[in-house]
Amino acid sequence: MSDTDNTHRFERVDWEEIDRSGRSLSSTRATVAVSLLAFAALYTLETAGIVSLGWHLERIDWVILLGLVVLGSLVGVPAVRRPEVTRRIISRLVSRPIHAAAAGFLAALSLVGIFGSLILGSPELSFAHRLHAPYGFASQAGWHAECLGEIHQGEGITRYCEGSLSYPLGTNHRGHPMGYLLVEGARITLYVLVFTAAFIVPLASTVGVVAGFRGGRIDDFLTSYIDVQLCVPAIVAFFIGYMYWNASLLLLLVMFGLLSWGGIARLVRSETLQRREDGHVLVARSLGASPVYIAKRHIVPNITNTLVPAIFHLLALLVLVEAGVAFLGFHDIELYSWGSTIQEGLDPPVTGVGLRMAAHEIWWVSTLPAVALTLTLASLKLVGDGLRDALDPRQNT
Amino acid sequence: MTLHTDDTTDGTDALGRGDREPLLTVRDLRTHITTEGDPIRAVDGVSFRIDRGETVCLVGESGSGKSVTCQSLTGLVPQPPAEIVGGTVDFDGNSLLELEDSDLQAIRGSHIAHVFQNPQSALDPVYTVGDQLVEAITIHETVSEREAVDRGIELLGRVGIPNAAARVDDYPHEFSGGMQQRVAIAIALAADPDLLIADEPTTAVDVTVQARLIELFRELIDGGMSLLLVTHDLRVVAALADRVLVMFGGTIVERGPVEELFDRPAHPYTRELMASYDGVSRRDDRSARGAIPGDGCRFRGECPHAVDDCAGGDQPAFHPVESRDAHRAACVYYGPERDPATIGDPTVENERRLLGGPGGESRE
Repeated sequence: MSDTDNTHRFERVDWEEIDRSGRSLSSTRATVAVSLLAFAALYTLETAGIVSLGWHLERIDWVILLGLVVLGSLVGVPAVRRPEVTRRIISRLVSRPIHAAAAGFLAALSLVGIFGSLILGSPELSFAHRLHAPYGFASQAGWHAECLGEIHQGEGITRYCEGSLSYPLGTNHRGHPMGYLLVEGARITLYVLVFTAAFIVPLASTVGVVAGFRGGRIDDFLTSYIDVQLCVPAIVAFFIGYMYWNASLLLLLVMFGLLSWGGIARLVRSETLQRREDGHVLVARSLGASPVYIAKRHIVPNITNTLVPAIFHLLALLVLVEAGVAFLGFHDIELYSWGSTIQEGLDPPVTGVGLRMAAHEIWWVSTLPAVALTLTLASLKLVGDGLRDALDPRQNT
Repeated sequence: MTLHTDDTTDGTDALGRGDREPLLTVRDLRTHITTEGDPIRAVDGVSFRIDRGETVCLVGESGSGKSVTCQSLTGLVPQPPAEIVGGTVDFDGNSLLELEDSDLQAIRGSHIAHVFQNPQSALDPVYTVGDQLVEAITIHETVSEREAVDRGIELLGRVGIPNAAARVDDYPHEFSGGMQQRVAIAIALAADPDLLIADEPTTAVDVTVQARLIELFRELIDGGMSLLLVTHDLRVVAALADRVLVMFGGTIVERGPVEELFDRPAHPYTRELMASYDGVSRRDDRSARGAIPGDGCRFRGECPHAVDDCAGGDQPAFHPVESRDAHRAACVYYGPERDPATIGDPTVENERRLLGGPGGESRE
């Protein structure tokens, strides 16, 4: 082999390298880059006051918006690029009625969470209309200054105010319509879901795959870090943060999110350790695939069996944690979480008139968000299982 | 120490194939595998050469280092626990063992492709066969999806998948074992490699599929591809090989053109291997063996003719068998000081084997 041949060969090798990286730039990464740039531009312009979106965005809103961009590039772009695969997975997911119902509920929750607040806006607080029962039910007439429904006489001296269509789901003790509170709660729940899915899950999966795939010292380091992190109780970390900063949803998400991914990372690592020995991984290497490509294309899709249910379990867990913290009252007072609404329904504060009512007399205030919370948790679990089956081509549904 | 290495260079040059251009030249390859105790010397000084368009078969029992040799060539052997501690692999002007990972990746698949033993695990269960063919094509080439799919269908047809156009959208579990092996071969051929390294491709499939795979390989060889075929099926060797390398204990003990090696197996281990072969089963009694020595002739522990000269140093030098340069055995009996006739006449043993006498099938 002459020298010229050598140079020729090496040059060609280099070109192939460039080709490969060039191609991967053109598709998914381009979309991601454009959306991230758009996000950054929007953020800069809006915070500088040059562009107004028409409503006020808090820091948490920006974080979630960024999360939506991340989710869109991780899930949305591949789904759009392979429509036939997406269609097959969705049709497999909805082939069982219970999974279809759960997926439908989560889709509705997402739509309500994103657009509900924008459409409804903030209703005017009418204290006079407080504690109206949902339509078709009745509450004691003495609780509210103004009864919008019909008033009828009960036994003894008690008079009852029928629920009215102005507040189909009733109102709470401040006069907030329950519908509005449910929509706000849905938005907060969606925030929890988006934050976890967009930031925590990729972090956990990446750490797990890297530890399992690279092995050696990197694995030792990451595994020991996870072990240490799992020893830190998130609730304590949250309360320490709570002492120094105001209660905020972002604080809760960061504290609980960043301390809760160890389990998934461990799971992903152990699965990766098994999967990397698979014959098709060796085949991919023998075809000239790079380690990152193999991890993304041949390891991760093969561990969805355990990863997907674990992700949805974590989502459900963090939704529940958020509701729990809000129930205890350590939430941002301006955010109407389902958890805080349940608490207000169970332990109604004495207000104005000085009447004390029992929790069961205003059952709708606690029951409606509790039902919404339960349905959300159940749907997350069901969709997790359904998605696992739908993603596995070997399963016949 | 380097005696046999120099000799290999001589030996490969003396193969009388000056008309062919060397494609792959392996010199003194050594791969060790780390264990809790001493490292296992899985490949311990292997040298050979494959010319363009040539088929070389690597035979030997399980655990003799055939697969590790194959996977060391393109750095596929998992490191750690394995470590390539020495030797050179020259492929078409590139020294593979010195290349960066990214350069190796560019050679894998496009120039040197592999087929592995177990077809059931060779395909990724979550992608369709078509997806995996497209992947194999697009790793090295920028082509449109449509074109890649068309080429994938063509490849499937070439390896004998009936109704290929309809089957590209099927998942691996919808194929039989023999079909999966053919798909794996189609994937290996996707980037039109110069050299195909096939590690026991016919072992896990039944006899009729074997025959078709042999046919397929023959077509590929006729198309100008070089083939390094690992097998312990001597029928496959007879059907395809130009030259044969016999491996034992991490070393090559004998090599030569297929007819000569079959007619006159020279090394005592080759004779034992041939004698134990009864058409279907193969010698596979590693558990019955004692430890293989790590120096000298690795086979001396079991060799009925072992002498003191067999021990110590590197493996014995390659000596020509019956003055044929192309056919050489790493056995002291073929050296100038000894007479190979003392270890018996292979033709006699051959006949005894064919007649089913002692030393033949009774061994299995």
